[in-house]
Amino acid sequence: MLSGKGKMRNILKTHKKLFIIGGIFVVIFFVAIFMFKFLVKVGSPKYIYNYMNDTAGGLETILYQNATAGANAVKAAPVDSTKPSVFGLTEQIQADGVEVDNFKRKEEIFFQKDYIKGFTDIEGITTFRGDYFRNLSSFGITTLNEKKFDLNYWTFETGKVLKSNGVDYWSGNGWTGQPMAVKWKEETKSIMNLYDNAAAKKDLVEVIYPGMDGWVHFLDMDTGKETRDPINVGMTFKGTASIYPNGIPLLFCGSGDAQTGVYGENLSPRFYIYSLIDGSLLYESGYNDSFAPRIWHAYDSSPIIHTETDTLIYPGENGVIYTMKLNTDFDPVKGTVSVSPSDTVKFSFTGDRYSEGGVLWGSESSGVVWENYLFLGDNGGIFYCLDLNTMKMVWAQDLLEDINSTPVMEIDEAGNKYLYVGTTAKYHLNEHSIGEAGIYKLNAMTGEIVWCKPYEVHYVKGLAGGVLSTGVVGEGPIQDMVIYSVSKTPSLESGYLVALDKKTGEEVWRINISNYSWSSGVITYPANGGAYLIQGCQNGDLLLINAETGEIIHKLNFGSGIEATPALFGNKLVFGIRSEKIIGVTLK
Amino acid sequence: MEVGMIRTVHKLKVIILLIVVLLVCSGFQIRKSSNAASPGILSKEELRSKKMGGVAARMPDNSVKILFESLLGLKLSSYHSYNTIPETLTALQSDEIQAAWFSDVTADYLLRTREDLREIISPDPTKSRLDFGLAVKNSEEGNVLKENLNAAISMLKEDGTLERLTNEYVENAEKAETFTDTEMESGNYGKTLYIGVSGAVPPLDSLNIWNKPNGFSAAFMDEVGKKLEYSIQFVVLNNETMFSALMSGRIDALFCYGSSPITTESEIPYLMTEGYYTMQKYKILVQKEEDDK
Repeated sequence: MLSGKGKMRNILKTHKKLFIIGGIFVVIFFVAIFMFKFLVKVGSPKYIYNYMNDTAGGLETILYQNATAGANAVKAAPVDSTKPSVFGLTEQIQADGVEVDNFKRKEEIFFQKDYIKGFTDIEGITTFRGDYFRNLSSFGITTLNEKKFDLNYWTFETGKVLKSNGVDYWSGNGWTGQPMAVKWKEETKSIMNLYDNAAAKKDLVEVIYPGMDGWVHFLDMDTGKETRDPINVGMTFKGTASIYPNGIPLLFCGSGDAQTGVYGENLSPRFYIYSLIDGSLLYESGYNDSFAPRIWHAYDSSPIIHTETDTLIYPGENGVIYTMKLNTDFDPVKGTVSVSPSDTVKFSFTGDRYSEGGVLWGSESSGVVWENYLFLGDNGGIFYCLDLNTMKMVWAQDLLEDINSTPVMEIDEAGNKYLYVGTTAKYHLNEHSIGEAGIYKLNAMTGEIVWCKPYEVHYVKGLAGGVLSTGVVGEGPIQDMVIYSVSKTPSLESGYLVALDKKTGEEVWRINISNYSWSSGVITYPANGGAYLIQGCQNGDLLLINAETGEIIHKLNFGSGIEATPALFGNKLVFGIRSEKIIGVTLK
Repeated sequence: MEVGMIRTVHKLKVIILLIVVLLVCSGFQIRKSSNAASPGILSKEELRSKKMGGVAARMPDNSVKILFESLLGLKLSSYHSYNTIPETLTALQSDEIQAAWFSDVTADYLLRTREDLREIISPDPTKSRLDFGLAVKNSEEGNVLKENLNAAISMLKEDGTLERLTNEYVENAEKAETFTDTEMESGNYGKTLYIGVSGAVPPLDSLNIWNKPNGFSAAFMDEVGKKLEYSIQFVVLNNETMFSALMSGRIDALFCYGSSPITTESEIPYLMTEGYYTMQKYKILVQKEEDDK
C-alpha cells in the first residue's frame, strides 16, 4: 500500500500533463484578470503607452528677443505679428440684440490699478484669486510660527448633482471652485438673512461657496457651521463666483453643465445674480444664446464688475463675452437690493480653426482687466486683448493649445505690464497622445511672447495635461519668480510645481509631485517673514511649501482630490474636495 | 426501506421548516409594511428620507434620485421606477413609495380625477421646463419627417385646432368623449406613419382599458395625419423600450417626448419637433390619509 507521499507522487506522475495544462490555464486566467483591470483603468489600448512611459518633462525655454519693447506703454497696440487679422479671426458685436459693426460705450470703462489690486470697500476674497489682476489669493495678515497646518480642521458635508449625460454626477467642489470669504460690515450683516448666532458674531468671516452639488453654501470660516440657509440652484457650479466689489450684497455665479431631466430635456447652463440679503434670485441670463458660436454653454469664468459704471463683464464658455449695465439699486436702510440689467453688449469671434468637435471657442478661465482692456485666453489657443469701450480686439496671440489657466498681470516699478498664462496640451498630440503645454510671459501692451517654458505632457481619456492652475506672480522675497503647477508629466499621474525666473523663464526650483495638481496655489507672505505656497493635489495632499526654496515643510492628506482653489483669510484656509466636503484648515 | 423512509421524512421536515420560515418572513414584511404606513405628508420637508418613484425614465434610477434630490433640495432614501402610471399609483397606495413625480399636466389630471392624492408644493422654476413634442430619429429621413411634422403643428396652432384639442382633451380630459383610432378620419392615405405611444403622460398620451391610445394623442395625430396626408398607426410600447424602438426604425416617431433647446455637446441621436404642449415643472404627489380624502 502506498503512503500519502507516494500516492501524491503517483497521481502527479499519472496526470502530469493535466497539471501542467491546468497550471497554464490558472496563469492565463490571472493574467487576463490583471489585463482586464488594467484596460479598465487605462480606458483604451492606445493609452497603454502613456501608462508605461514618461514624457521628456521640462523642455528648453524659448526666449524671444525684443518682445519687452513697449511693455510700459499706456495704450495697448498690436505689432505686425499680433494683429487679429493675422490669425484670420472675425469678430461679432451685438448691442441690445442687434448685430453692429462698430460700438462705442456711452459710459466708458476704465479699471484703475488701485481698484483692481484689492477692493478697499470690502474685506475678503470676493473673486477668483482675490482681485482682477488675479494675484491676491490671500487676504489679511497671516502668521506662521510653527509653519504647519493645524491637525484640528473642520469639515462640512456637501453633495452631488446629476451630469447632463444623465448617468454620472458632479460631486463636492472641483476646478476652479474657489470659495469667497467675506467679512461684511456690521450694517450689511444686519440686513442679511443670517442665523442669529452668525449675525451676532463680531468679526464673522463668511465663506460663500457655490459648489458642484448645485448649492451655494454659507459657512462660518472659523467653525464650518452654517451662517444662513443655503441656496439650492440645482445646477452644478464648477468655476468661481464673484461678489460686487464695493460691498453691495450681490453674488454672481455661473453654472458649468446643463441640467438634464427624465423626459430627455436639457436645461441650459446660465449665469445668475443672487441677492445676499435674502438669497433670492434677481436675474439669470446666458442660456440658449443663438449669438453664441458654440453649442455648449457654461460659465466657469469668475466675472468682473466695474462699480463706477455698474457694468458686469462675464466671459462664457459658449464663446461670448457678455457686458451689461446692472442698474443696481441697493438701499442699506430698507435692506433691499435689485438689479435691472440693460444695455447688453456681446462680443464673440471665430476663425477657420474653430469647429464643434475640433478646436473650440469659449473661455473657461477668468479674465484680467486694466484700464479699458480685458485680457483673456480661449479654448482654441487664442489669447487676446479686448477694448471694452469699443468691443474690438486690440491684439491677439496664438498660444497653440487650450488655455484653461487664468492669466495673471504684473506691473513692475518701471511701468512694464506683463501677463503670465499657461496652456494644456489638447490639439497637437503625437501618436502616443503626448503634447506640449507651455507657461508663457506676454507683453500685455503688444501681445508679444517674451518667453515660453514648454513641458511635454500626457493627454489621456479626455483629460489634458499641462497648466490648468493659475500661477502666482511673486512679490517680496520671491519677487523674481512666478510659480505654476504642471500636470501629467513626466508620468501620467505625476506633475511638477515649478518656480520660473520672471526675466528668463528658467526654472529656479522644481518639486516633483507624485500626484499632479489642477488647484491653483495660494501664496502668503506672513507677518513674520518669508513666502509660503499652499498647494492642493489630486491625491488629496495639501502641501505647505517654502516658496523661496521649494522645500515642502508640512503635508496633510484629505483622502480625495483637491481640484478646487483654496481661499486664505488671515490664518484660515478653506477649500472643497471632490468627496463632498468643504474643509477649513488653520495655519499655525 | 427503513433508511429510505427516514431520508424521506428528513427531507419533508426540511421542506416544512423552509416553508414556515418563508411564511414568517413574508408575514413579518407585510406587518412591517402596514406598520410603516406613513402619516400623510403635508410639506416638501417631510419628503426627506422618504422613498420616491415614478414612471421609468431614460436614465438609471440612481440618476433620477439624484435629480429629484437636487430639485427638492433634500435627500431621499431611495427611488424606484415603474413601467406605467397605474403601477406607480399602486405603489403609492401600498406605501411602497411615499411620493411620486409626474409631469404637471399628468399631476393636474390625476388630482382632478382622483380624491386620494395631494400635491406637495415645490418651488416654481423661473422658466418652463420643456415642451412636449414628437421625437424622430436623427437621420436624413428623420430630418424630412421633422420638417413635415413641424409644418403640420404650425398649421394646427395657427388655425386654432391645437388650442381646441388641448382644451377638450387635456384641460377637460375627464369630461371629453372617447376618441380612439376608430374615430380617426386620417385612415385612407397610401403612406403610413407609425407613432409610438406608452400611456406614460396622460392625458397627453393615454391608453384606454383596451390598451388603445385615447383622447389627445389620437385626436392630435388624426389632425396631423390629415394635414400631411398620412395614415396614422399607433404602436403601443413599454416606456422603457420605446426609445430603442425609435432608434431601430420600428416606429417613425415617439408621440410624447420632452425637448428644450440643446446646449450640450453630447451627440443627440434624435430630433424633436416643435412642441405641442408646454410643461412648466415636475409635480410631486403623495397619498392622502384616509380621513383626509
